[in-house]
Amino acid sequence: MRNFRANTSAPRLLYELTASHRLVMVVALLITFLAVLAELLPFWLLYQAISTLVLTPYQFVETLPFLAAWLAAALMLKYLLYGAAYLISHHVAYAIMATARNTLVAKLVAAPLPWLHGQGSGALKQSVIQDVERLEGFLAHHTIEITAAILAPLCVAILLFWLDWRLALAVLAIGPVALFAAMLGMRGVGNDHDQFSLATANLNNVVVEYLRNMPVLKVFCRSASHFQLLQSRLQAYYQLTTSITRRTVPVWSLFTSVLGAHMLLVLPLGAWLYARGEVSPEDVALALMLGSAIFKPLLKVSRFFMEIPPVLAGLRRMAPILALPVPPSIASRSVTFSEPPLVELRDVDIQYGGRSVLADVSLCLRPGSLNVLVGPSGAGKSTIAHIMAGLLVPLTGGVFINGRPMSELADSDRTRLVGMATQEVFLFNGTIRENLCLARPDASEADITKALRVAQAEVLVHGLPDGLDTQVEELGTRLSGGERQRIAVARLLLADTPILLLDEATAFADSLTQRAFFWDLRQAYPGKTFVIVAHRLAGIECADQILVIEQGRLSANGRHTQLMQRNGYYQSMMRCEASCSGWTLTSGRGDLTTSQG
Amino acid sequence: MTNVNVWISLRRIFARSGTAARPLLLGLLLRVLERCCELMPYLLCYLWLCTILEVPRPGFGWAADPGWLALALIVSFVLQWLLAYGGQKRCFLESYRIIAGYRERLIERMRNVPIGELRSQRVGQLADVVTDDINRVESIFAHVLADFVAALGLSLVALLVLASIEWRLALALAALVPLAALALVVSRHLFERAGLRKHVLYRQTSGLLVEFIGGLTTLRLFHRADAWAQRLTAAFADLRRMSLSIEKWGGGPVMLFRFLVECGLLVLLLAGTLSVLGDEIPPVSWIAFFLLAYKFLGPLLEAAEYLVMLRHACQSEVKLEEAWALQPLAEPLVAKTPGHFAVSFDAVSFSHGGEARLRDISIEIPERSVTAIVGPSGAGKSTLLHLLGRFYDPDQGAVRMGGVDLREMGSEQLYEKVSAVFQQVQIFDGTIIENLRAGREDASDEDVRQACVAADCADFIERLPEGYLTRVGESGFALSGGERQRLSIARALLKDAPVLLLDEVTAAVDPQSQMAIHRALNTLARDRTLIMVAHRLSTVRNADQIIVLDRGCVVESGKHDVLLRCDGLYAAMWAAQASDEPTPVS
Repeated sequence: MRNFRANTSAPRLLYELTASHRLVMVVALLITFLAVLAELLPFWLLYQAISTLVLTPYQFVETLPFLAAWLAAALMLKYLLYGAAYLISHHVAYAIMATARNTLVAKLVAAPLPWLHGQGSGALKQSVIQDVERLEGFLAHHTIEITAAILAPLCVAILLFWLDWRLALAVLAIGPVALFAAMLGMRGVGNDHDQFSLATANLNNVVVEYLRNMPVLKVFCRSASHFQLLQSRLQAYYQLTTSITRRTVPVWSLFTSVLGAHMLLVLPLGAWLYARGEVSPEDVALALMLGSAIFKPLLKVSRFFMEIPPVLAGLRRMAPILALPVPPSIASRSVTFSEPPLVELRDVDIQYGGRSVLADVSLCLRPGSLNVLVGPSGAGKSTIAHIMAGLLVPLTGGVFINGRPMSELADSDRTRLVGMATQEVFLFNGTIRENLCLARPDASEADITKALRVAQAEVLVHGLPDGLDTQVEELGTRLSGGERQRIAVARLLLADTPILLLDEATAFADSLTQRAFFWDLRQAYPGKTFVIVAHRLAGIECADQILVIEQGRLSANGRHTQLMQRNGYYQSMMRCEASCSGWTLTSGRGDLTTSQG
Repeated sequence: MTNVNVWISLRRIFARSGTAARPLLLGLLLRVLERCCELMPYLLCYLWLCTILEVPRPGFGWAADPGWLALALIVSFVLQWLLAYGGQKRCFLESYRIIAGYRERLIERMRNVPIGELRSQRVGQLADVVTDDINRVESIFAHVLADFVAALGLSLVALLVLASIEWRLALALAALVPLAALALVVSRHLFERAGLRKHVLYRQTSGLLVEFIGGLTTLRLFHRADAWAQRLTAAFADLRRMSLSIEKWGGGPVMLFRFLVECGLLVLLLAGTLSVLGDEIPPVSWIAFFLLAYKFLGPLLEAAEYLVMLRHACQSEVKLEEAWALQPLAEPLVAKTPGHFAVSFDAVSFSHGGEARLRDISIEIPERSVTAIVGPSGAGKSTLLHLLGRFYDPDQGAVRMGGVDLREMGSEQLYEKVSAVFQQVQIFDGTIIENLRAGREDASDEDVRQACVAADCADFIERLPEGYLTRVGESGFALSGGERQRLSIARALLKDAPVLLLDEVTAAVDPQSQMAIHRALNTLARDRTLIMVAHRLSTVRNADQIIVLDRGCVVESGKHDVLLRCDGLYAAMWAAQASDEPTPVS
């Protein structure tokens, strides 16, 4: 895979992306050149016809079949050549787009996860889908159109000089004027375009915000004021379009008119030269007809300049993704762990955006133990789980498996050793069964049943329309967050790795049975090492080790009874939990009580 | 996707915008006249050739003089510029004005769409439509429509001029146009089918990609990312292959149209070989046709390109129609005011998305009482609350407050009386203080702070970089579930409405925060009609009334003790949850 740098300029990036297709593109452009020549043939034939009519009108009818045959050939040639050029350009464009997308996806597969989290799926989707799609217009259409728009005037100019140099000059004399008008017209276009894009983006943001916030705004009787804001943005937008229109129309209308103004000189000059017997009438007619082929293409070129900025902006958005480094691959040593190994975190430090998230954390997980991480939100519990799963790489320190650094393991070996159920559950489109068996497609029916039972998802799955074979996408929003979590836990249990990490994956158990869950886990999967990030304490007494994380540090560890004696935070957490579970709302008539359970 | 018809779409846009079409039509007329000026040099050349070939057209003898020719051309050029100026200005301004009206009316309509329709997915789709699609319609409407009409107009005028010189040759020149037009009409279906296929494939691929990006962490954890990348590679290859064939089917007919139109020239030449015409028509007439043929053919070739662009805009217009199809809530002309705040459901049935959500619900909720709604998931608990908040109107029956049907109360008055703390009604994009003051606009800083202290959110707010002025929501600082919940409780405290709707949210918060939330809820519950969806039965065991829902029906209701004695669904649910009580701490 080619390595790009983040600061690669957009045109350069485009050049690199098209690397292996440039030769074919050149062929398409050569064909375009031939098509341009074929496009001039009909005018040449009309010239011949007029010439016959002027000089030997009596022979005209005889020459008609001959002219018609030539014309038919010219038209066919023109359309065949253009067809071929466009076919090739599209072929190349689609090939380049597929390559670009594959490159982007390959980069994403290997991208560091913290980077990925920072991107937002919307932005990434925009790059891989929309931004690449924008290349189509440029590669498939503009390349051909612009080539034709540049070559046609050149060919015409040569033809005109061959015809008569004075007529040629008369046609071309309008060039500087048109150029001047174009420059006048283009002046400030970039600025206007920027302003217009900004106003459009502003308006779009307000509209999207308005729609998104509508429920809250309406319930709190605020929709009217936000509607006014929206209306004022709408007005601002239309004031801008009006002022841009008023400013650009005078010059733009001059520009479009000037493009046909070569006639101003050609016809009078032609008539004068004819009067002096220096040119023939058909020469003047041809100069007149061809003249429009010189300047009209300029219109296309000017449109092209308006359409190109979004393409370049898309390329610029792709640049950082393409510049992602590809981590060196480690050869799989097919290490297998029949017994769970000893897992240690040694002196782990990690930072996000300059803020220390974990400092100096060392801990040890005995083989086959059940470990629970507790602590206030934001203390770093999940970060520890992420580091153990290899999703995050600490600044210093690391994870050690039986004394050897985990970073020496290949991805495939690590994922065979450590499994994790994340907070945000990802169920892909497919059946529930396919989702459950993501890691082990060959799992037996008995394994699936066991995993579902322990994850307390048995009833849930049986209640689905087609049980295990229900399509996830058909369920839509019918699966609640808790239900998705249970499926994710079952999936993890099925993965059957020696070490299993559950990141907040037991949140569902607050209305069900976390205690039963812990108990079942021990019974059904003896000999596995569990690490559970939890915010409820029910059933925690059966844990082999409880790790209390506070402000990025391991403040205490031990069994329930030990922590109840020596850790203040743990004690207060226990008290709060007891009080919460006993809490009840009573009456609205002022005599509410908070009873302790 | 329904059929795309440019004409129908244009008429709908005019009708929806509520603005007059006449000023735009005048602009279009100016644009047509502007382009007709392009004929002048060729006509003058023809007249000049007539004088040279000594068959001058009567009254045009001056055309032999280069000076007069130059003067006529200058006049024509100035005229063209003036027409271009007037026409472009009017067309742009009027197009923008029409789409402005369209936008404003659409947004106005969105304002009264039932809140329930604005679920997050739906909002995403709607947002795309009212931003991207409307922008596409606007830009094509403003830039392409006038060019299209002007090109067609020029073509028609050129043909008329030629017909006035020799109608039989004009007929020959235009003979293939109907055939070419037929190709375009037929291709409309091909174009649509091709567009639809591409749209479907494109959506599938982008769906797959969204899945891939969203699930990348999980996929990597299970070592499946490479396998998925391969699926994507295959999808991209499919897209590539299909795109090419679609482009052939979509672009081919346009190419054919252009070819057929240009072949009109061929028919013209062949017509000359017919002996009747060949000998009869004077050479100057032929010359006129040769000079002007491309002024007839050229604009038609251009028009085909514009038509393709217009069709793209119309595809967007069809999508916009889906947004127009959302029915707004009916609001009363004169809002009735309820005298008290008891709430009742009177034989209410409601279905959504083809599924019956609530069936024949009748409930009485006395003023200032606590009512809990419980039941298994999917029983319709939240839907009941949503009907009370008028997220939807019921299909049958009525929801009343103080004896007044919510529909007669009007949304605005309803929301003055009702406060809500639940997932769909949390935080809007803005500063924290804006969100809090939404509860009560004139609340003093001290009131706001007190509410925050009571809801246990003062501490975290004051720790934020900009305190109460921190921007939150999707476009600002991301708050955790527990923080959002506490903020919306503080706002409800400020609002102090007589009716409170509450959805017990089981966000993953630590026990300390949970306790703070409970304290705040207790304050909030005082002296109000409170209706609460409860997941943990123990939280509502002292409620004045517990309503047990199952599959959209009320199966039991009453106080906790009574319900336990009934030994029905409630008793079963209670027994299932009772085993989950944690060990009491001594």
